[in-house]
Amino acid sequence: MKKPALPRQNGSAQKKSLSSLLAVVLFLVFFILALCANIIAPHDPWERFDPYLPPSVEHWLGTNDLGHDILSELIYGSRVSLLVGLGAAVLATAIGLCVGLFAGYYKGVTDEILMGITDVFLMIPRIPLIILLAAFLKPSFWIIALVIGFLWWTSTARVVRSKSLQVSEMNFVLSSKCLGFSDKHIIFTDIFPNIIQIVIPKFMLTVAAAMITEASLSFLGLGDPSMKSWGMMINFAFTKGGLINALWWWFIPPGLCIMFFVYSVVLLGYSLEEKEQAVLGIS
Amino acid sequence: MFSLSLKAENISKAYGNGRSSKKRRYVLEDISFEVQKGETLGIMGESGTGKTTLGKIVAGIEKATRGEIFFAGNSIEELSKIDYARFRKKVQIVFQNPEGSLNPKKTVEKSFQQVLELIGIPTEKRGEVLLDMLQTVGLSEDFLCRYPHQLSGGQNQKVALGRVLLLEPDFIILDEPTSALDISVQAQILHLLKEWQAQKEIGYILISHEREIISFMADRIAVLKEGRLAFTS
Amino acid sequence: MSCLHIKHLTVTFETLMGTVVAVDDVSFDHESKETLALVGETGCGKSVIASSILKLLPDNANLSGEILYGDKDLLRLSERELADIRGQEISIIFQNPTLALNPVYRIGDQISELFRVHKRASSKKSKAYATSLLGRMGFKDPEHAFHMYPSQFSEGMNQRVLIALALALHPKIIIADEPTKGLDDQLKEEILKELMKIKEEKESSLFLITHDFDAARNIADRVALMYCGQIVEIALSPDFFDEPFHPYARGLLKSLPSHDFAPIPGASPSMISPPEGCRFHPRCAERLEVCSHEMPEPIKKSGRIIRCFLYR
Ligand SMILES: Nc1ncnc2c1ncn2[C@@H]1O[C@H](COP(=O)(O)OP(=O)(O)OP(=O)(O)O)[C@@H](O)[C@H]1O
Ligand code: SF4
Ligand SMILES: [Mg+2]
Repeated sequence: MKKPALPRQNGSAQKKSLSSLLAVVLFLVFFILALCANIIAPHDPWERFDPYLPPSVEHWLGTNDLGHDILSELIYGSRVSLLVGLGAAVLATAIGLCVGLFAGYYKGVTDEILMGITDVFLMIPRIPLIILLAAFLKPSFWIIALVIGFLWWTSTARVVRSKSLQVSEMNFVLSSKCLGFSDKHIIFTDIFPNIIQIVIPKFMLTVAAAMITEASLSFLGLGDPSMKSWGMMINFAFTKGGLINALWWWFIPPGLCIMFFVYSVVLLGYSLEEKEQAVLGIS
Repeated sequence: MFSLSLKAENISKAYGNGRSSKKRRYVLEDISFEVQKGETLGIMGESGTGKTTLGKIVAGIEKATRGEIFFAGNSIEELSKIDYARFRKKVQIVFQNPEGSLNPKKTVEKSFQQVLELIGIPTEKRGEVLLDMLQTVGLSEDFLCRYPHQLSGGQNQKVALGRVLLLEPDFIILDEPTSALDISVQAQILHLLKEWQAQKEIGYILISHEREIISFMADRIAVLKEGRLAFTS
Repeated sequence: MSCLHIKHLTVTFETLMGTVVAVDDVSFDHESKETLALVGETGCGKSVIASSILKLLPDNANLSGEILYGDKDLLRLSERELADIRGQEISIIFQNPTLALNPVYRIGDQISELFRVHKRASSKKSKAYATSLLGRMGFKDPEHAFHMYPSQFSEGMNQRVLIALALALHPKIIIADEPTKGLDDQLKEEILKELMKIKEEKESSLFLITHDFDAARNIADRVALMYCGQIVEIALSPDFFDEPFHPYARGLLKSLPSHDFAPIPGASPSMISPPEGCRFHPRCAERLEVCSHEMPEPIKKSGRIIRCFLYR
């Protein structure tokens, strides 16, 4: 619990700032990898060399069963992971924001209906449903992002709602109402800017959740085989004999990448959340 | 011209769980009064007696449990859209806590500009109107770029007051409007309010716990005690 | 013995329109056990002084000068060392109660939390203590108050909660920024009495920022008057109210209800480009030749400190 008497206190920020710095650096590295994959990667990920090559100067992480360069696959894979993560999170956050804002601002019946829907979505067993969908539809990469987005907005909606409830009771919102501003104006210029701080960390956490979900699906062989994500790489490594033959350079790096990327995103989310809490007392 | 009035009729307000009547606690009971344009009704009451709640109900931003508010003879519940918009423009409230009455994410300038836009002042005239208003409430131009937390309590209150005055309302509900001000600025604002009233015939409902302020400003005085309103002479 | 020396404190804020000089070379001592009232026009920098003492200023602030507490310079302590001082040695009652309370915790929990964390009291004990403290703050039903959330209270009630919070750990110095704002006369009196009682009991000193001249007259030992970032007069409270030296003080006393709220003519000065010479000269009825181009320095005169050319 925050010490109430000293709302502007910053606490021992040093240790935390180090880990959030690490998170930012990691995130940036991956982001740049994804953005400039075509420049950074040594080869085209679909170009064929000799299969099953061990790491060498030419192929730092060797090649896979089809002779694709694993390092290049890995670098291009960051694109896929990031796209799924961001795509799904943008969708989820947009839905969650709208639902939460409207529920919190209009209250009453609107609130009850919207929160009822949220509860229904909350009860859906997400992972099994996604697996089922993926198994039957053999979906493309975009559909996966879409479905994840449609299933992961509930917690954002709840947080946004409770904060909007709080903010919409504040005098400046009442003032705006009284001055005759439209509901739209109030929701978007009065309430939204005052809750955005809590949405950003939620967004990051959704990115992480989406990435993990995509990786798990792909690992289970339910992903989009035309898009080589990290999960898909591990899946291939498992099914095409990488594991049995202990070709560690094939399945360990994508695993590490998933781990570090998710770690950086989550950490970033938390440190943003913390920062928001520290600021809460002032503005 | 017919006289425009703001009337409260049998206003009651209960807090607590609405469904079980046992848990309900009435903060306001059967409150009625009427204010004409150009006059000041002073409402006095102790801390926590529901003065602010009453103010919000009269301003139409909180619902009463029972009772109605009439603006120019019509219940505000039954106003047409156009009439409601007029009511909304003509009845304003200034809150007690000035820090909370401005959006922390908007600069003073933006707060003002949006009101100017709302009331349809043409863009090229806005600067002028804005500067006029700043002068009226006694703020200098260099406040425009600041955020509410970069202003003192009193400066915040002046901004809030200025925004409301821009709408040229017929009635203003003043909820402890000077509680954040020092005595010289308080004196300034009180005189300013009186001046505006004389010029524009505004009706005030002045809520305060300070007897001196009320007796200086008000034409009629009512005391709010234990949820009921009693007029004194 | 004086427990707080403020020496040449200057606080500026960077804004888009220029630098705001909120506190300009302010020096004064706050004796232990005394009640010092700080009065002055809205926006003159009173709250900023209060916040500087505990270094609770926003990022765009620059501080210089010294604030000596014992042998420590508060401005040069680390966040960690300050955390030990805040609340326990020096506590502050903020001007805006609703923002200073955490909206998601019950009133009582916020108070008893302090005892649990700082005094290592058991939760039962801290609850009992919190309840009794609420009782002393004029809540008729402290048990009931314990379970309320800040949003369920009126401003005046939250204000009292805030006072309870600040007093909870018996600090040596209590800084109170308009503690009775928004309270009616009777409650104001009660709260101030309680504040003074606790202050006497614990031998703390009180630094009271207020607009309420009656309160200042009744409870303060000394009064400091501020105008546009500077302290212009410090005097014993009876002297100040009976015969203020500074023309601004005289103007202020005329704005009291007893004089029908006669305001001081002219507008409050800009803190970005304050008037040259004496800051008060554009509004001063007794202005001299020098006033418009030379700044008066604070001098000692018959037991007061005064910044005005009339008393050279
Ligand atoms: N963060 C900030 N950035 C810029 N200017 C600021 C900031 N905080 C305060 N100020 C300015 O500093 C000056 C002093 O503010 P302060 O809050 O100390 O006034 P005050 O004397 O307490 O007034 P009041 O009696 O109204 O509370 C004001 O002019 C204010 O606008
Ligand atoms: S120095 Fe001059 S202008 Fe300033 S207060 Fe004194 S007499 Fe007035
Ligand atoms: Mg202040």
